[in-house]
Amino acid sequence: MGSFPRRLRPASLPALIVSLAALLLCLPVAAGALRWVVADAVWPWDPAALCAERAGICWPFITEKAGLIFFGTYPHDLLWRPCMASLLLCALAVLTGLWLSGRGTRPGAAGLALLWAAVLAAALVLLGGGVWGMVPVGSLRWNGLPVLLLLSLGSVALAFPLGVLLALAREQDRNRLTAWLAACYIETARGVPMLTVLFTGIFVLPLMLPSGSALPPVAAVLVALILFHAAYFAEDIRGGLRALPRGQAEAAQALGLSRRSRLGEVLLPQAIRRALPSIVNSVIGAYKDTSLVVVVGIHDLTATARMAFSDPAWRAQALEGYFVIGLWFFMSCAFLSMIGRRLQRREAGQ
Amino acid sequence: MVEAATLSIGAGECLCLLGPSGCGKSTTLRMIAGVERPDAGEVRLDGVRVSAPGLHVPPEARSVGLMFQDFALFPHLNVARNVAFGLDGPRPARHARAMDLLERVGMARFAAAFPHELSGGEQQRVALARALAPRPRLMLMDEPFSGLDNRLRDGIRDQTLALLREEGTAVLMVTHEPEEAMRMADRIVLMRAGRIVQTGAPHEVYNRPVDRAAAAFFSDINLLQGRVRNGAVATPLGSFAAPGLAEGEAAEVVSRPQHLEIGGHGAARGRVLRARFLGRESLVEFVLEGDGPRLQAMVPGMVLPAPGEVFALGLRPENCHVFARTG
Repeated sequence: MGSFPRRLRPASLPALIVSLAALLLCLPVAAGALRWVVADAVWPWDPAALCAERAGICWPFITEKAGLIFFGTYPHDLLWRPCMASLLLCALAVLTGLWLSGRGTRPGAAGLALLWAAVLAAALVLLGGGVWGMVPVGSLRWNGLPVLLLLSLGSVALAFPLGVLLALAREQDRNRLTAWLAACYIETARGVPMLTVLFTGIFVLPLMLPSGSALPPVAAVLVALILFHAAYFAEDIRGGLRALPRGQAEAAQALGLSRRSRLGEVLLPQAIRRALPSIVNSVIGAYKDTSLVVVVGIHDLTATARMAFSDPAWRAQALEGYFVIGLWFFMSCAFLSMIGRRLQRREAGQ
Repeated sequence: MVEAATLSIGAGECLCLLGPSGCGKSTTLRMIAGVERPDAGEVRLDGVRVSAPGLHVPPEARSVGLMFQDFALFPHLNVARNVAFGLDGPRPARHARAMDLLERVGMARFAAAFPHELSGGEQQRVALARALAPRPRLMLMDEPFSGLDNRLRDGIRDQTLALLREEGTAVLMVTHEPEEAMRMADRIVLMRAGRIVQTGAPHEVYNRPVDRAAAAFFSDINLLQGRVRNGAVATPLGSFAAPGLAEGEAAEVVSRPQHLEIGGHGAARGRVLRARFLGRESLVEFVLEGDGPRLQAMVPGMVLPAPGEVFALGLRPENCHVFARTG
């Protein structure tokens, strides 16, 4: 085995046996997958009828139903709007991720907040319409990718500042009652399953509003998500605050800084920087959890995929539908994990 | 824990709180800074009470500078912004003041660098510039040099002191190193177990220790024991007056190794146990003949007698301190 690449060379005989066994187990799976994706595939240019004969992936289904899988029941002639909204939201997420992990010139916190507000507002306007001659589209028809992105990015964008406030409220020692309330809130929100929170949002939140005012389900779910994720962000940031050496606060204090600027300019920037890896972790969790909204009737990607293969003509294509959205979640989560790893490396380097 | 401490610092003075670790010197400093609250007692700055029972002026309103052992620079800000951080007023003025201070500590060319890119000595200078920037009336420094390389330390101490003098800032410094305190302080406040033991100019504290432990804190000591007879303690090295001690009381005579005289007309004879050359001076250890106590002598230059050699040993009364025996 002398010419074997060093990192592939097994360290010992048991390691060799385990590797071979794992390989043997993986081979049939890999072969099956390869057969499905390549050998037995019905390519986009093949006639759709072929799908009934071949066992492989049915591309004609995907090409025909792509609009439905990604945008659901959004009016067909207005598809450019959810398309644009999704693109904007994706671009926002990618740019923010790259900035945070140190690529390109990073805008300040205020710039970042402004950009997020502008893009989220633009996405809302694009989806909802009703201004500048755009036809209004009810939120029940915002399906698939844009609603997933809107809910995940919107909840992260609003839960984060709320989390900062909660963390500060829990850490401060001036007002015991506030600290206690914040702790209660955080522990309750973290102790309750996401589904309960979603059901509460859909069924209980509207009851709490003055009668007559209707809260669209998307908005109710968004509020529920924000309140849920804020608790997790709060704990991430509190961990960052706790990790700061005591001298930082005291040095800032001795320099004559007010409480507000001590927090805003010395402690929080450092705490958030230290907490970034765990914050990214929470963001990935929040993003994946967003697909749970399907159980309260929001048509996110899983629901629209089901719409696509519930068409009587494409009954057999469930696997293709889930394959597409699986691929989407895999790629987007891989990107988020990459950002997380880069952040961790940068933290370790300093 | 600080039990009882009363001290005052004059304008432009450099006062050192000196003591072993855990003696309460850092706590004293932190109470003056206002980051710790005393249970009782007062702190006044320029005659104004800033801390008293029921009164606590927060540190940011006290106009004191605080320097830490680990410097506590803000890692997310560059050097110039670190220094300008505590300043008020328009941005150009703040920047000018920050750059002026950086210039004076010799760090102007690092203005754009971040703290983690600097060496310990450089960080110390930035921390000094930062603490001085808001023109504090009093500078509090907690072991400010102990994180530094031994050979850098002397130079940085002198520069620091010079800059503090220029700014006219009173300094209260905490250290556990007697050499550092002797080098920097106008007055030394020696602390032990939460109490002040002795206060005075370095030469006073060194030459007139109040007890055996105060003497032993500055150097090794030679100890001779005896009982008071006719107002004096008789020892193998002679008789030493014991003012203030009762007749018949157990007493000890404390002296420093450099005061043990070798080869004079001393009455006692000591046998050399071993001798070590330390560079500037030599350390010779004796045992008094007749199985007496061991004594150390610090002799300038290279003096290396062979073990077993016997010398006459002497001790002048003016170099000795007689205390009631403790422990």
